[in-house]
Amino acid sequence: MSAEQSAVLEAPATASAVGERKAALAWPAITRAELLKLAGLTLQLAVVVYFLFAFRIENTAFYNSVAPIALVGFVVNHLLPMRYRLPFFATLSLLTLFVVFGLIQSAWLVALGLLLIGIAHLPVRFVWRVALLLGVGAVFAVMRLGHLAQYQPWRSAIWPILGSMFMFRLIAYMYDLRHMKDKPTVARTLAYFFGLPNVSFLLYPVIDYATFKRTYYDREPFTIYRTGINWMVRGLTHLMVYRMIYQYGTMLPTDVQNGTHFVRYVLANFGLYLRVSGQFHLIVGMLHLFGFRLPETHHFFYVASSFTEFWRRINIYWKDFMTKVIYMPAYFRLKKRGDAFALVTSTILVFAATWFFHSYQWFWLLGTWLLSWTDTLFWGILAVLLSFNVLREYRQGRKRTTKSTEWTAAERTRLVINTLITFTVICLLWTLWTMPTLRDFAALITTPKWRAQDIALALAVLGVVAVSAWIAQRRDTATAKGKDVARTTIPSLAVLGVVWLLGEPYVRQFYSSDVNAFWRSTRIQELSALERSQLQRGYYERIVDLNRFNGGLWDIYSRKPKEWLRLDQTDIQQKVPDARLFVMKPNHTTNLNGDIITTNRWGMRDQDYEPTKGPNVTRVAMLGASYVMGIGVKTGDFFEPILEKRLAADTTGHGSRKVEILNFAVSAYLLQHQLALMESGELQKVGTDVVLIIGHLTDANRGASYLFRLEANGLKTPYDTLRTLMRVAGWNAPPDEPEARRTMRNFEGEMSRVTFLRMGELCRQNNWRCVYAYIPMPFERLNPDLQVELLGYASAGGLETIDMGDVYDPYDERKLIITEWDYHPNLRGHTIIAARLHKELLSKPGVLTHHADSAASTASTSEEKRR
Amino acid sequence: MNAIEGTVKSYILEEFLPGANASDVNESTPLISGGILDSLATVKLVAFLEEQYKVTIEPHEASVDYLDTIRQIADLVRSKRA
Repeated sequence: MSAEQSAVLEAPATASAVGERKAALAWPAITRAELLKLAGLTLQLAVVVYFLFAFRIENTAFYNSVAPIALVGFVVNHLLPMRYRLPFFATLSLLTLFVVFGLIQSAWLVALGLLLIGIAHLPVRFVWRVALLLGVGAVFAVMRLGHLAQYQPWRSAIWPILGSMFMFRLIAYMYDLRHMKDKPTVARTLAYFFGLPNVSFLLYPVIDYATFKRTYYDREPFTIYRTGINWMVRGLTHLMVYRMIYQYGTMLPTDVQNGTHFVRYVLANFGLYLRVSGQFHLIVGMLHLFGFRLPETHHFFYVASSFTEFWRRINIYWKDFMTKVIYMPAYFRLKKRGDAFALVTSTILVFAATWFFHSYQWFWLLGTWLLSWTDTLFWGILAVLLSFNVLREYRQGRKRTTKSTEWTAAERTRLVINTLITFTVICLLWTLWTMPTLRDFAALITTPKWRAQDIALALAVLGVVAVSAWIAQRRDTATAKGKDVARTTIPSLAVLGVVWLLGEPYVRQFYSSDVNAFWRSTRIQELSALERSQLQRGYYERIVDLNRFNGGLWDIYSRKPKEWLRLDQTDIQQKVPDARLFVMKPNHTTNLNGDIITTNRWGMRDQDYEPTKGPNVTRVAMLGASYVMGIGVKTGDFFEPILEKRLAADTTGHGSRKVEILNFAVSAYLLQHQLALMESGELQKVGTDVVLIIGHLTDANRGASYLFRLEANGLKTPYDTLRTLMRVAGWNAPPDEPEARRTMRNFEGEMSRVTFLRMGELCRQNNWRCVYAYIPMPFERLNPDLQVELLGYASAGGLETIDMGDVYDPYDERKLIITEWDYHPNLRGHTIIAARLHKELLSKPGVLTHHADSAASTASTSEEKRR
Repeated sequence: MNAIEGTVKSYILEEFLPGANASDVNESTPLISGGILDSLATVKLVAFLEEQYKVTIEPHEASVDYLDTIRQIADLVRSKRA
């Protein structure tokens, strides 16, 4: 099946073409050589598909469904007559949608898509069609925001996918519809919008419709397939490198203290873009398997030698899209006013549009509008730099590579120097872009201390960039001379094979635990420790700083329903004018993401308790945060009531004494909130005997946030010890929480320590038996040293400790969480915690039978005797 | 090679590929998709064509569909002059 046959099918029917058309419709007679070629490529593709599965590349839908379907589809597609290939691809794409999304939701998705396509083809004037599309788009936008939910029979999970399919490609399609001479066919239009890989990738290259049409089987098919497989392997490699950077390279900006940290932070941040590059290679590579010889999506963008080069090499499809719909129309309109004016204005318009469209994309994928000064400044600065570059290139030209191009040593040196300058500036700009605020960026730039070894590291990195620039230039020259430098599929697969082998569970058992953890991370797609902590922060703060489209968290947030709330977004909490800052309203009921939360007269999510406990009863006040009060599970399905029931059923360790557990937990309470609660007198009101503080990661690193909120509420820090720490750290009314955290960065441990000391004092004063139980949420890990330190502080404060840091070790934590965007434990997770906590409490003799009143009388008698 | 093709080729060699051999570019060498003409070079070429042949080129024609090879460029100019 050849490109010529494709051209014949596209050509208007003429008498002379009839014979050739018949040939294109006929089943192809495949030669033995062709069959061998097909078998060889299928084998390579099968290995790629296996690696996608083995390395769990990107998402389940992709490696479990889309990639295997593409493998089978590739063979079938090639064996079909040319006439049937495009309809086959369109049908396969729609079927894949149904496989991934299920019948009902896919039907809605396709229906909404067809509505948009239908409007694009209405037999009315172009301007009316555009107006209608804008109108329907506005209605969709309102629905994307979560309004009109009562009229929406489909799930909100559809919106990001629909947005991904239509938000840009519909613009490109409309543009071509207006200017192209021949009408699009149904099959091509469906293939264009619903293309096979789109169902599993929200970030999808803005493929130009005219290019999509023009390049379809316009070369020898096996050449196209080979390129496709090569690009898929390249994409897979990019994604594996990205995964390592994401898991081991990223760090919090507040943790950047020296030059080495700074270099690591900046490089990792820029390196995260490999995810987009990797995904685009996989997508376009996969489309090649079905004959779409689309152009490259990225080309050596890390070693661009100017800002215009960078723009041309990174996300090439976007650059082409902008050139087509903004740059050229603007330039042609403005050129009468002079070339320089037209060029600069068009360039600025392109960046203004890119800035807008970036937020527009954010809206469709995440349901919120991205507006930040750092984002605006990033595109603004890039526009200015590009404008200067454009003018310079317009006047001086630039060196282009052809067959006869020879680079002199001076030219190469200039190229390398320009690359280093561009790389450095872009790295800094990229960092600015991904910062939540300008203040954060300023702090990141000014905080690090540069030592000799940091400067050496920075120079070494620039050295690597220089060598890479030189290699890239040589490869481009070789390509221009017609050499095939893209034969990298087999060597790359071999390298990936070694990575696969070293990550095999059988091999991993011979490694130390750290090495094992590293190789294990090559096999799983999960949030990095950094983004897990960001997800965690999301339970405490309204703003979650997503790193633009880098990292993995945004992806998860795109699937989070708009109506998914945190407890503080309901009406159940109220502010109080003391150091607790907020409590839950007593006798109140609210609905949180489908679960009914009801509080008793004490403001606890618990059954009601009389102020006076019955005889022979030990009352345990359980303190903690959201997961302790069972956020995400139904009443009675969390570990406190489960444990209470277990204790009632099994009296081992407490005999005839009844144990009542009073759940004082409040969502978003930090360690200092718990102390404030112990100070408040609430525990005494219900005759508390034992205080069981359930702690987790935030106990070690959120003290500064508490102090900031205390001040924001007009309250003074109640303890001398904490005030002293603040003075020593240089606390001076920080304007925001990140600044507060930066100020107290080196004092978080000390804040935990003095908090535990005060807790211990309160326990002794009230004759409470106090236990600090470290129980993480699923996927929540403290570094082991910090965990030991935290438990050590609790112990030094006089609290007994329980370490349940390993509570989930025997289990698959993915099965213990509510959803992928909320890592609170589910019923199973709570049951596991309850069983372990029961066991741990039994191992502390006397805890479950402790009686504060008798202990108090004993204590006061001893005190009197001592006097 | 016709007159238009020859003129366009000379212009491209002189303006965008100084120092390159004339044999590096023929009537079917991909100019835009091959990276020889970027957006900036394309608008320069358009200005040249409009000036040289007194034709008006539309924004959507300043693309790979119309200007990717010397043959396409010449065809476009001829169609405008016809």
